[in-house]
Amino acid sequence: MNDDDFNWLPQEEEQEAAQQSRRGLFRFLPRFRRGRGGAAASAPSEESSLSGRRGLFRLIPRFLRRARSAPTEATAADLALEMGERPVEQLDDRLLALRERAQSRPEQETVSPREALYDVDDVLVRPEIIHRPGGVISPLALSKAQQEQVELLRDMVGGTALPDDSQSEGGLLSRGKRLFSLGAIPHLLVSILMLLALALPFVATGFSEGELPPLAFHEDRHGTTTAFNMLDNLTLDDYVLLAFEYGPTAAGELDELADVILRHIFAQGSKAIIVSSNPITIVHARNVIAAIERSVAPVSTRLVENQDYYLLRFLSGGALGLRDLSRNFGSIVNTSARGMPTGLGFTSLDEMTLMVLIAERAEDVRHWAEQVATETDSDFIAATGYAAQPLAEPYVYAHEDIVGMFIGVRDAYTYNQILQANYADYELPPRREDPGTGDGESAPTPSPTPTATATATPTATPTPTATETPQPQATPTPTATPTEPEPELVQLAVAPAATATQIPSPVAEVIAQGPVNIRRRPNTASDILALAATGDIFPVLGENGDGSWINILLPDGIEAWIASFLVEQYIAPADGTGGGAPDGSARAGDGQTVLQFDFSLRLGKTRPRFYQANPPAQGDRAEFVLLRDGRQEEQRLDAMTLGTIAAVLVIVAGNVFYMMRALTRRRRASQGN
Amino acid sequence: MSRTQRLGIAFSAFIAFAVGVITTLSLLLGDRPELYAEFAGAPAFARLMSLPAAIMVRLVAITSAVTIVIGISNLLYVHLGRVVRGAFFSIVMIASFALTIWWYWSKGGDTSLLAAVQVPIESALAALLFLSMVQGGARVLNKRADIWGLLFVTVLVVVLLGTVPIESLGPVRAWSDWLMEIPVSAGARAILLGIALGTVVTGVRVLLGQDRSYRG
Repeated sequence: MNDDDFNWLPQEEEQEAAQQSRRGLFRFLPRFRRGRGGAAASAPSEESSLSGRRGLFRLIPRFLRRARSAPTEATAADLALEMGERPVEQLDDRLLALRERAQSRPEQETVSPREALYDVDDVLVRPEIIHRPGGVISPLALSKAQQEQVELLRDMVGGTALPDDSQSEGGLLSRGKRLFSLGAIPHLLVSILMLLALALPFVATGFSEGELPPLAFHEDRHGTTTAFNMLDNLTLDDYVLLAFEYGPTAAGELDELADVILRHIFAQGSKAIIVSSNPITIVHARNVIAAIERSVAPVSTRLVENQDYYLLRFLSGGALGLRDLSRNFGSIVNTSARGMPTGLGFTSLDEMTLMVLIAERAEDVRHWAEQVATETDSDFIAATGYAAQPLAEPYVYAHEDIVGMFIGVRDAYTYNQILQANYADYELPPRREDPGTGDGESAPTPSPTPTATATATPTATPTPTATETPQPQATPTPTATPTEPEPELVQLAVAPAATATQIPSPVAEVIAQGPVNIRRRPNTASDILALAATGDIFPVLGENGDGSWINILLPDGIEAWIASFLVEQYIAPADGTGGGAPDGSARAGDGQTVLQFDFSLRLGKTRPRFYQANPPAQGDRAEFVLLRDGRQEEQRLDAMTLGTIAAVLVIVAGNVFYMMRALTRRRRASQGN
Repeated sequence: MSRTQRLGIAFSAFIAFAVGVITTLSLLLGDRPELYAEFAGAPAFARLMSLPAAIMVRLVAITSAVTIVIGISNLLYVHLGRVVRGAFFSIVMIASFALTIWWYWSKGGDTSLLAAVQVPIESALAALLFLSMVQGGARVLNKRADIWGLLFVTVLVVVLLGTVPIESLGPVRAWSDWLMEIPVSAGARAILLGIALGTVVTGVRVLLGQDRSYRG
């Protein structure tokens, strides 16, 4: 095989192609039969040089050596070399024109570096190039060429000579002496002034300048009133897709917005499905929810993941990850951030009642507006900080699905004030004697006494009627696939419990040889959520109409179904003897798997649809709004105001000084001339 | 460059071109049954048309997730090599990494380190940025004391004063609102239009093989 074997093009076409500008895909066509002066001429020489090497390279067959991989990167030197070896007639038209122009230019005189940098004195100032070893920033390691350039610049602007390293003595002591200089005093004063302005509202009273944000949104161009009303119109079991698209850097500004929006969603009885294209933000969202839990812990039970809120896996791929969310929502919404099934049966973004984006950057707003908002009919709300506002606003105006936008901590303050006013008529639930640890990640602790929520909402206790079916909700239940009807639930006979900790628990024990499929819906065509082993015990919520499927509760709070002939049902006493545990969880015998589940918390939350024959009224969870601690909000706003005023003063004073100095210098220069 | 290398480049360019065209057509024509209303199986055909884009987008998402694992592995590899040479901050990085992993596992998934360490540090850096910007804003006319520098400083001061909630600054706030609504909004839209046009141009260049970011 030789070069002629690849001669695809006739001679005339090759000449023509060589003279054309080699652009686009054409450049990738192999140029063969270029024995004289072409780029291919360099290949044999390179190969021959390689072949001349000693060692293992000689053992490699020739065809393998020629099939070596392409260079991983092309350097400018490679390109220049190739250009230099190319015949003149094969050069690109633009290169030919450039070459001719260069040849037609008259010879220029050599210009010295000092003349070429004639205005360097206006750009460089002495203090900035004086070498200061040590200090806050470590000295840079310069190459010899860089040191020569620095010396040249130093000589041109009259800087001080570079101290010889060998002359520096004293180590840290000498560095400490040079930590401060007179030139740094203005910077230091400005920093102290700014810090004082920002800190004073927190440490002293009487520094409240300016007005607080209004107590109601103005219906302005941002559509904030519309956005708030849409959140306020959420009802029980509505699902809100909440996108956290900000990192820890913006947490100080956007955590307030996230906090009030989440509290509003929880107070309305709706559920938040949290997504993010940043894996750290998913963890941060969990911390925000944990903080909300701690604030309501004295009167409320903890929020249950995969029941009150959902943390989905992070969306990789940037903008394409968001496109993936739009296209494969049913798949993405099925996996939690911990890799567990969420039990959500959504198939499309259109099933979301509302979507809320809290974004740090305008680029995130752009990605969500382009990749998500255009792919769904659900309404969309954006929330950003002040920095992202100018570039995010055009999308709020351009997309009719984006109904409004909240901006920064001032809107968060107004939002909270409206919420406090709206929920002022609601009473807080009684204070719990054992609010629990309040830690968002620790295991749930059973309450020794009836929980406040359980007593406040009688629906928490299962009614003894055996055939009662759940009342249909006013809003469609999104957990059901549209093409699949909601299974009819029949509640098992359970004795009413005096307290949450003494509830006899109907359980189902797997008696068939495992593994046994546990499915999302009561049919064999439904998804398999988990596999159960023989002897596994699950709390029972109910059964379907003909009793062929049992509705059970998985340990992570997900409702699922198992075929009734595979299990044996019985009532597990909750008195600490026999088959029940003191905390209400089922206890199996020796050698059996124990699946713990806290019934008291479960009933206290009144979340299972099975028990919602009389669902809690809207506002029953007003504690999420009323127990928000906003004491530091006004101080933060005061600090913002004082900080802005201080910044304006510094900027004005500094620039007036420099402008006066420039005018003085020009006047002196004109007088000198 | 040998013929084999040239063929490899042509082959990779062809793959990029083919995948790009197929994905673009699938995004444009998929999931739009109204385009095929005259056909009996319009919905099924529309879903079929959208399938290539869905597969490609999913592949990109999965690949991006894998790159995170590769990135973390490379980070550890590089810093472990520097630890051997005694680099102090690499030791701190490796120790922090190990501490975070240990904390998460030993505390049952506790993520309080993020709230106690990461968020305060990054917030402090953002605050330092504010101080630096104020310092820089005070020195604008130091380097450029001309009409444009003066205009820049004037607009900066007006916009900043417009955010101060003091009633006596009402007229300044009106100027600030005008600046934000007209010139700033126009500039923002121009930037967004430029980004959109740049994205289109880059896409076309990749499809035509002019821009080979895939290193073919």
